Amino acid sequence: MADGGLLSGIRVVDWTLFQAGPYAAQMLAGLGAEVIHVEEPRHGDQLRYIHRSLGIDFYLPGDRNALFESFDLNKKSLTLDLKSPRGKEIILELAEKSDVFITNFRQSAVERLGLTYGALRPRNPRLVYCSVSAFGRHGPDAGAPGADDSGQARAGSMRPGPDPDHTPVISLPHICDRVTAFMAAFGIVAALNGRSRNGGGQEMHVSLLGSMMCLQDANLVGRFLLGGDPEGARPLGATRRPYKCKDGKWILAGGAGAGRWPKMCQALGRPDLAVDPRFAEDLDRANNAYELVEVLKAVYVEKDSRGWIDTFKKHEIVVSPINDYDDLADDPQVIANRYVIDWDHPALGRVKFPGFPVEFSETPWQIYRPAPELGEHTEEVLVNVLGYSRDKIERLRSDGII
Amino acid sequence: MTDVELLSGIRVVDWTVFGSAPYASQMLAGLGADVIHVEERERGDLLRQLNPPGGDLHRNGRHVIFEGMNVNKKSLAVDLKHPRGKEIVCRLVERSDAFITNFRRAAVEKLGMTYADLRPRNPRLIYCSTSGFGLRGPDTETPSLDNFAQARAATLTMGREPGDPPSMTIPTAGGRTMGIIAAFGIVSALLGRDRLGISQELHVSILGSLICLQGSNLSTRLLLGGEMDPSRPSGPERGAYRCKDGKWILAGVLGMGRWPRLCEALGRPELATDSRFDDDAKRIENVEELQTILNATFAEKDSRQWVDILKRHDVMVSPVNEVTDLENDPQVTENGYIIDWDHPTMGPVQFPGFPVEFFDTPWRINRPAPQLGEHNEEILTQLCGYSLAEVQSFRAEGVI
Repeated sequence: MADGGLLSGIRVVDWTLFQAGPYAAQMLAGLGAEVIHVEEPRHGDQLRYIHRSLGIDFYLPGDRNALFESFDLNKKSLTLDLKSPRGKEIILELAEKSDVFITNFRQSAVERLGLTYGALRPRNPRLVYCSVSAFGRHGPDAGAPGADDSGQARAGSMRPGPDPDHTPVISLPHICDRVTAFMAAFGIVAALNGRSRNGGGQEMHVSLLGSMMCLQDANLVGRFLLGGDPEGARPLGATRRPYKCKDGKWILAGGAGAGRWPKMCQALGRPDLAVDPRFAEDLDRANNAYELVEVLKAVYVEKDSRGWIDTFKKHEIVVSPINDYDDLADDPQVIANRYVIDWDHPALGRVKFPGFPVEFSETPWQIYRPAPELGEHTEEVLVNVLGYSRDKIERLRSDGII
Repeated sequence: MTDVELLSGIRVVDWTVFGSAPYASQMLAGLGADVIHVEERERGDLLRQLNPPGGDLHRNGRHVIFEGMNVNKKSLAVDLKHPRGKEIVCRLVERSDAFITNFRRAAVEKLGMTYADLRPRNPRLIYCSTSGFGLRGPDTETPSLDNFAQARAATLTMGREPGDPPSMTIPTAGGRTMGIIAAFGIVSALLGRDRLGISQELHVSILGSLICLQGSNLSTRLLLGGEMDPSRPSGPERGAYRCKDGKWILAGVLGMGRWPRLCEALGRPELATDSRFDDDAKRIENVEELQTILNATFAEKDSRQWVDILKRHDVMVSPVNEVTDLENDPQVTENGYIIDWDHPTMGPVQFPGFPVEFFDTPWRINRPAPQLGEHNEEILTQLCGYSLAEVQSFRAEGVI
């Protein structure tokens, strides 16, 4: 097993804020890249100050923020006033000595501050430059602002909400930001691969809209190629849908592919259903789906969820408990695979925290450090990466540039 | 723009089925990797035949979901249970950079296709295995499909009242997320191999990928004990509103100090100084009152008008699209998120594009999803160095 991490030796200038840009950089940081989060000196990344959204308060003890912890783990923080010429020169020097530059500031701000790919490339032709927007580089809303919910709205993935008007609500919170970050991280590493074989860096771009569409693309492709409502692609039939058990918990059971129905009836203790003319064939079950759902509801409610899970497993039928968030942190499967880990946070004490979904046999994902305090690594970066003297740093500090 | 493809020269053996891992290798294929989909010689990837009861997902003899997972790949149809068939795949592995499989562990072991089996044939191989629920734990051997892992990862219950039935908010999001994460893992491992000289196995599961997708929500819960509720407004300054024409738009501002800008845009500047709403805390406290006022304001104009006005004021705004709106949204088509494509057998169709735009080395469709075994001869002669006579004998013996 290597100590340094898979991406050790890769330096990333992370000039981002909020979520989509920061998480992309964080994915690289957890694999060993040196990620330097450049923040505005007085307030820093505004994510540090989001105090309430979707009915929850994010503040943690010690001036920490639960969202910031989650998006900025393993990074260093460098404060810079980019509006001052000296601050701008520092970020350019840093880009010269880095492999990747990532930003999710709006194109207009990037241009105003002179931090476009066109501006950085002459300083470092090997730089991989990743910009992130809400709606893409082209089209009527290129450059328009947007957040997680805007991406979900535009990509067709909001759903009718529970209020009497069915006000649309997002599907799952923050997943648009997350999937955009996945695509950006993939793109960056793919571009670094290309660079190591072809020589040069390049610019790349991802958007909330495009990434959210990619997440749903299996649903889209059916619609595009077959036309009409993608009814045929709908995955849940009567046999494979959530059912409530005796203990009030929901489970999901049943397999794909033809020929499994008799086995399922066996497991359910209802072999009669396999030969019942209403349900015997695939098409019968599709035509009489509502009737079958009622029959199955009555069957499932006879036994506790644990009992059903054991039974289905014995009969080699795919089954899963339907977890809620309370269940997740206690699910042995989740814990065994380190999808949720125990972590001694230096400021928060012992906490549970999400792990990483890629397991490498030689170069594991790690928590090297918690999310940084604002400007925590300013001095370290200026001394170690850029070779500045203590005097020079003091002057930058007293002039309010760092 | 150069002619160079980003991942040209990278070869991937794609021994996968259905719809999760196949997307990972397709992501690599669209950037120029040579991806060879190894399929069971008679029926092929089972996705080719998968139909919902009473429905048909084929058009012009092509399975449309298969098409969505396998463009840009080649197909090698081979009997892996036959010793000569297995030798063909091993020879292919010797000449490849990455191997990806989503077959169950038991099948991989039975056929002798584990990392330990293949590594001696190619010590530089990056080997990616995938599963529903991860390599360890009580359910590591349990088969899974997208919705089972969604059930396990708590995406079916998010934001529901206690007792409400679970429901799937985004079908296939689990498999898709795993595909994206696996692709990220593979390119990271390839980069590490070239820079550090480390070849290795990596593993991703649908469960783990979905937990990562919801990571900020989950870490919030783990650190604070609370849970975000998607049916609650993001904040008092941002939400979905119904306009005069009955269409919904999402509008509002994000970040400190932008509330007056929204009031200005709405033609209600007095709200900015209204003592009920003039700072963050008050707007949260009086959110319901504020919501009523905003609902009434948005109902006064058509959605198109509001979109124009809010854009002019640099306020965040987006139509709330239905899936059916997407192909007509110029923002979607002009960025290539949906492309027009002249498919060799289906003719002109619309097709999902790719969300990463590389300025020098674009994603592209070089070929449609392959017919079963379409590239058998090409792969065996040009890549594995078999003679045409040997290929004939493979065919005669039912190896390919």
